Amino acid sequence: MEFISGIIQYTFLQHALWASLFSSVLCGIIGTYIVTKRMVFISGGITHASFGGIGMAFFLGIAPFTGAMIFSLIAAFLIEWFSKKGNIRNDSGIGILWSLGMALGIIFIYITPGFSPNLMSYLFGSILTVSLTELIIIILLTVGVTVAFTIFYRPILYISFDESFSKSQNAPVTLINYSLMAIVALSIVVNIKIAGIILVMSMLTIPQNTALLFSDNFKTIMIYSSLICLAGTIAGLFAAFYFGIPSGATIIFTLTLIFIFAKVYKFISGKNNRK
Amino acid sequence: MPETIISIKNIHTGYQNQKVLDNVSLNINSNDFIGVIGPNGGGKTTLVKSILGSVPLWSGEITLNIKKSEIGYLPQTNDFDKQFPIIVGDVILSGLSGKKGIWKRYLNNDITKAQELAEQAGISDIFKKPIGKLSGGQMQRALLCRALINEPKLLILDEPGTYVDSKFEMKLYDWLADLNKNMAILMISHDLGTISSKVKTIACVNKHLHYHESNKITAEQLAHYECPIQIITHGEVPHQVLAKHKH
Repeated sequence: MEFISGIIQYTFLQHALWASLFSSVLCGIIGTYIVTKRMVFISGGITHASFGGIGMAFFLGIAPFTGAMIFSLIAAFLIEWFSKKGNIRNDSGIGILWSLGMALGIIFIYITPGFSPNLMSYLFGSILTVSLTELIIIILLTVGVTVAFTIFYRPILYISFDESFSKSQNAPVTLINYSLMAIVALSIVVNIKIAGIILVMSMLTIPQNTALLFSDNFKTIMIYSSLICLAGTIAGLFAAFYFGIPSGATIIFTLTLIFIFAKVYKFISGKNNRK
Repeated sequence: MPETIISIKNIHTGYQNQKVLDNVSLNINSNDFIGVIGPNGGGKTTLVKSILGSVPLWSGEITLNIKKSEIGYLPQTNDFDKQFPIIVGDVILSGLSGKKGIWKRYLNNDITKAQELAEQAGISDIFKKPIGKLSGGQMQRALLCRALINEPKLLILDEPGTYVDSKFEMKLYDWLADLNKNMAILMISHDLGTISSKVKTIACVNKHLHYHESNKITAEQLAHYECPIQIITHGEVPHQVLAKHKH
């Protein structure tokens, strides 16, 4: 039980474990919002745009986390804005931000003199290098989001369900949409550390789709997907600790495996029920 | 004494360059029951959307003497996701989202009210069912309850009979007559025959609006109003389709 003694011995493992726990709850909640509102592609755009921020941060010598947050927030608000103003096709706009973010990231990194960061950890996640500051941000965000979703559960659910009706009632549609966009952007950024830019979307989609097989209730889906996500992140943590595999890859592999098992289970039990 | 709750004055509006409503005026009073008829594409739904503020006006003015959250609205088409994980009870309660805003809590009273409405609409057995499992008629009834839960001063119904079965449709009109004691009703229909006996007055919308101070209207009058619609009479009289007028 090298892992258990490792947890007691090494603070980096403690950080990783706490980060897995909290980010799973965060992904469970935010991912449910993303999946049920069909914002998966939007979230993909925000994620990749944030890479530009990471590059800029290296160039300016500030924390990559900060750069990613700035870029993801800008991208999120831009997407929300042009999806409403409609001067550009929504998915095309997302595609542009998506690739522009990646391009800017690479340009910044290459013009930063004498320094080439380990890009692999940003692209595929590195759960073992979560710093104390990053951990605190993850915890604060998760607690904040959980409280917000508890207090504002009905406004969030009702407005997400039918925006045009909510607007006809003068419900706070714009406020909810922009706030949730900001929360989605921030949640994506804190999870980049764990699953990586390329793979973070899976934490926000696969567990939720697994949960949707078993529930039609928004609240229950959030709880189920948090638990499924936790199984994935713990597996990612193990694989990173024992084999040095980037955590994101193992997380996605585990989550997909759970999804397939759930699908097969549903298929078989559905067949039995029909008999 | 009935008071004017909405006053529409000389509005012009449309989409892109195409004018849909041309110099339309209408006053809605607190005890009105107006049937809005007219051909497809004549601007009935656009009129409703102008009142709700979702279609910008080119010119003219709409004055609301009630809050938007005091309007109950049953849309003709819905662009929400039928797979969204929400139960019927919550759909009904979501009719309060304007009144409650972000801070006000939903109380037990609200939930009781939602259950009572479901009861009246005959859907109390599916109160906890997710919407993905509903039939078109059940969905329509749930949305009608959503339109009523905020105890509106104006109820706007856009083709309420589209999905419901004829048995409930008759019940619906009785219900509306009862509701009309406490609220104004604006009901869109393309089928004059069914609604003319239920409404008090008729508005013919075909780019222009002609207000008819009675629920009895003849084919000649419709022709005069340039409002070619299908008149379906139930019985031995064959139905009649009026030719479109050239402008």
